[in-house]
Amino acid sequence: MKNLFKNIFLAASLSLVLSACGDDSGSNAEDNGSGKDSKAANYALSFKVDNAQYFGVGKFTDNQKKLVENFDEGPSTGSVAYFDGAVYTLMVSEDFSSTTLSRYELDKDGQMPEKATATYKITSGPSLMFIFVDKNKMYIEEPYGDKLTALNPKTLKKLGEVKFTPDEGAQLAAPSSAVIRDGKVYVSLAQMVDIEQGVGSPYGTVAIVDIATDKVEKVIKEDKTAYLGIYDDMNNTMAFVDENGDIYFYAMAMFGMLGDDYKEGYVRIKKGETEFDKDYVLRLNDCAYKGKRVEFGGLMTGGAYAGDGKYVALFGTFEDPSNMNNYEWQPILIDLKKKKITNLDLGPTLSWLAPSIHLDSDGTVVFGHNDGKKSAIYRYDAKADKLEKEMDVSSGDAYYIVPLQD
Amino acid sequence: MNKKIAFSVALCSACVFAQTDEVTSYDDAFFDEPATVADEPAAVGEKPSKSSDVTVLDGLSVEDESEAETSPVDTKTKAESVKVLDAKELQGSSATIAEATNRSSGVKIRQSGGLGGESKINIRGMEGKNVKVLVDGVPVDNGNGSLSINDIPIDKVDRIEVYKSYVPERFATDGMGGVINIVTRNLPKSSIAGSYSFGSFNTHKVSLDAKYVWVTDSAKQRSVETGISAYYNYSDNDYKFTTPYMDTTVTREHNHYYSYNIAPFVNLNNFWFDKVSVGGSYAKSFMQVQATSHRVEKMTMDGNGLGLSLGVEKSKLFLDGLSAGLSFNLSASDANLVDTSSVYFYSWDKGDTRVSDEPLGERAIGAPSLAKYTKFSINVPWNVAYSFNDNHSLTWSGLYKYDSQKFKDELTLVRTINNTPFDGYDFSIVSGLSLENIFFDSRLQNVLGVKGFYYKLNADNEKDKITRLKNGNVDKKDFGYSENIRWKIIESVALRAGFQHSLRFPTRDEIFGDGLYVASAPTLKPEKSNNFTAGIDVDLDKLPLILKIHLEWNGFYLLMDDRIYISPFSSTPRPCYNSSGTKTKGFEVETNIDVNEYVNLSWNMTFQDVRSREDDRTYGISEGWIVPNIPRFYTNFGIEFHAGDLFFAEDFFKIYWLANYTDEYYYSWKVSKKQKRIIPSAFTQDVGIEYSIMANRLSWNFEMHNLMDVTAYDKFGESKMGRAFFTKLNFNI
Repeated sequence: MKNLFKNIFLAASLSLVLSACGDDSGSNAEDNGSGKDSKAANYALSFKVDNAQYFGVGKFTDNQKKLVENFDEGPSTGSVAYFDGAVYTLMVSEDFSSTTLSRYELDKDGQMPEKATATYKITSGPSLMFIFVDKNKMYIEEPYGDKLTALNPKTLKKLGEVKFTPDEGAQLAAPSSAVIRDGKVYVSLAQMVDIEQGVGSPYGTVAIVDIATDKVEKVIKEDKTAYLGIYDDMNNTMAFVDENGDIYFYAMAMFGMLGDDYKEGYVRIKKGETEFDKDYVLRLNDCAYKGKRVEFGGLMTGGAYAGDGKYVALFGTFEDPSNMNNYEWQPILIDLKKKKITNLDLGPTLSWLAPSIHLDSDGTVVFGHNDGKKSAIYRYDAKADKLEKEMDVSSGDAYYIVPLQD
Repeated sequence: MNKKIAFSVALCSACVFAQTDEVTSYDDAFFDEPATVADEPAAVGEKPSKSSDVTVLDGLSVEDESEAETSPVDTKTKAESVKVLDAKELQGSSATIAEATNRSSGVKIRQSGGLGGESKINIRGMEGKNVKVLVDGVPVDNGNGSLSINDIPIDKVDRIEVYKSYVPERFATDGMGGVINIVTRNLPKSSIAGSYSFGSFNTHKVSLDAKYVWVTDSAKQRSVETGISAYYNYSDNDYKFTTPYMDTTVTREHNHYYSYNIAPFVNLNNFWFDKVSVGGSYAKSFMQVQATSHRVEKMTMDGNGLGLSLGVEKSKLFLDGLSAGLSFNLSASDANLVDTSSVYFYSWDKGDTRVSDEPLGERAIGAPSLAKYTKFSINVPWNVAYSFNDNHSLTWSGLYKYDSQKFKDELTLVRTINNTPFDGYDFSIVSGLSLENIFFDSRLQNVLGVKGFYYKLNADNEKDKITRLKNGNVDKKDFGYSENIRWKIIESVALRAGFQHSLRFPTRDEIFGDGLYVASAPTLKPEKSNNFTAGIDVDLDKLPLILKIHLEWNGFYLLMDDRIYISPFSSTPRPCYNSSGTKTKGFEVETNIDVNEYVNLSWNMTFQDVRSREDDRTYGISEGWIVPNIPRFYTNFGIEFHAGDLFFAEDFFKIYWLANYTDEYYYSWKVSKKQKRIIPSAFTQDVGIEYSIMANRLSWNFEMHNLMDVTAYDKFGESKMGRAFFTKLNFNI
């Protein structure tokens, strides 16, 4: 369980919350209102301070310091989501032995209640990822239990579970990044050969689960990349469905630390198909970055798909794996179509802010940034290539910025 | 020094386990450093002044009931910020050293687990590695500020000195928060002393000290002392506890613990030197590991330690007033962690398991261990003192320390990413100079000190580990200084003031990692602090209705830079890092009242406000926030009734009530009004009765701890032991 959790923070990459929230029509980035309108929206916000996070709801126009003073406290290992009028949290106990899922139904003013309206205890260890299907069903990933647990989103009563079987030589078949398409969950399985070190298989595995029956219909494999996604992909960012209905999974290959057998890159499952596209792999290391090819070890961590092949993320070289606190994670825009990476007009930040990157309802991307001197929330419009600061952050760092819209 | 050398060697090597539950570092998991411990040579000839009527907490004075050749303490002046817990009150008690020390103002010992568990010491808001635990003047903790001090039989203790916000230069060690110096007892003549204690949770403690003195030449005062010191501790530790992680109360079913040691010694008095001391020791410990979050059924830890020591002391060395002491100590030890179960319990439910054909481990799923940690240590402490006259003296103290260590885990050898700790060695030299002066008929007392530090840590190269680490050698040097002054305004009122600039070097684990919980952080800087203290002592007697009263007020203002924290990563191992320094403001009030010859009342309170000194954007910390996990307010009460010659001549009876209230404090930085992770407030009470006969040669004690069975916490996530009783029979022949 050791290094594994580093990946939680470092691999929150690629994907779209919407894609895992029952939206099986691909990106709706172009269907939403303007960025200006979205400023009036409420957000579920979480700010990370050392080993804690403080979560609640607010607006970017609020005084952040005052806002946090009225937020609830939780452990830093935890995730925040919104679905159907409620804020959901998954908070992992300090010793990583259990996780509590909580549902906070918002009142008519959009405010969170003092206490959770429903809770569900997960004893299999850390569980950080939600998969919302519809008003009657959601899944929670239990990576250390090799399963998805199906729940009623409102009552949090257990409906069933989906078990996965580790491959030979693997200790876990841990569900990780996931998307929903055509009534099925496509969930990558991290076949962990060394749980303690967080080392998975040198190949990728995706399970296709029928939502109606909670049965595993098929498990597909590919060998162009290492294990896909990352379990406890807090923001579900390493898989997404694009406008065409194609599914993409990303393999981060543990930042190049595992040798040449472990390859990074995107693989694809095309619309209407249930097998990997044998002709497709996109390696970020082959993308143009600052006018030259990225050396191996260039990594992506955290991000949101903004439509039209544009992906907003953090990118770093992770030169010193012993130091997770280096300001070496550069906010970037990846153009998957042009195979090109460009820096946003900000300096490098910390990996811890990766979960903050979210697609807003207007198609822009909001994210937190900390340059070592100041911390803030920014909005980036990929279409207009426009970056603007939304909120100064003085207490902690922006950890989750979740629009309160399905 | 004599037998103490052997005893303290054994003492430390026996303290093989610090904690099992909240494992945050290798040492936490395994043991308090199995290093050799030796007695620091005494400032021979500086015999402390005797005092009568020593009370439980005897103010500033160091009332030494043992022989002169104990570890050097501030025997001449009373300027230092030190509290002494006297042996006469401790030895009959069923309390542990941690419990006894915890009743002092400014001191909070956060206990984890039962016998053999960790006791994390907090002095005026500085905790962990900043607080040094010494036995007879020499560091015995593993540098992480925790020590299984409850292993040390309280019967073997002459006194406990608690230095607050001050690490005397004569103790050749780094540290800033303070020192707990456990001064062991020296039997005054041929005699046997021992005790047997029995208590709740099948807890047994046996201790035995025997000494025989052969006088070989009475004219030259030559004698040979030989003897043995030993103890044995056992407990099932099966008390009930609760945590926020579970919905019910759970019994600690897998927490059996035992430890023992045997330490023979021989002392030659007035042969060539004033004293030549030779000692040896063997110690062993074993503990089943109890987790606080899920069932563990097989994981164990054990350790062994072997120590040898040689010490010499000489007064009037070349000239009158010059005395010196030197000792040389070796120890070899090993500790083992066995966690090879192929069944992992997700919860307390026996059926909620994951089963594998391969070892899964119970500490964390998929992290089995069959680890062996071996260590070899050399300690050479010295002490040279020169007394210009009765009022002025200069003391030069030092400690050379060498440790080599190897770690092997048969189940992690093939890992792709090698996190096992680096084998290698480290050594340090710390040396201090202290000038003690008494002026104006003892009305003005002064202690001035300066201390130098040099540390070198080496990591052996293994595969590509050094490449990742970038540097296999870390060396650091620095110096500190202090000044303490006490001015007796009138006979009953004295003022004190003190300042110390000191530091705490990162430990080997913090620099190179421990392979289990702490990752390497080679650029870690030392913590530094400027500590300001002030105090007033008032001693009054012959008052109407009151026999004697001692009042004391202490204020402290501590400015720490580059405080070392453990990273809040959700993964392990986690690196340490320097972050926001802290500013501590606080005060203590203490009273001790002898109402009459039968009734004693005591009360103390501590308030300490520890806050961040500056922003740390990396961790989102802002200036002025309350530092987590540090108690802010606590108070202790005591009422004792005692009487002598009650039923027989030279008998003694006492009955006492002790209580503690600790206010709530926070698990993480205080940011929100809705802070949820709180260590709740608690009011606990202990009661006891004690009766001795034949001038304390035979005594019996019975104590009930946590009388009202309050659910109390010392740390977030683990409740302490509830109501428990302990009884003890003690003899001195």
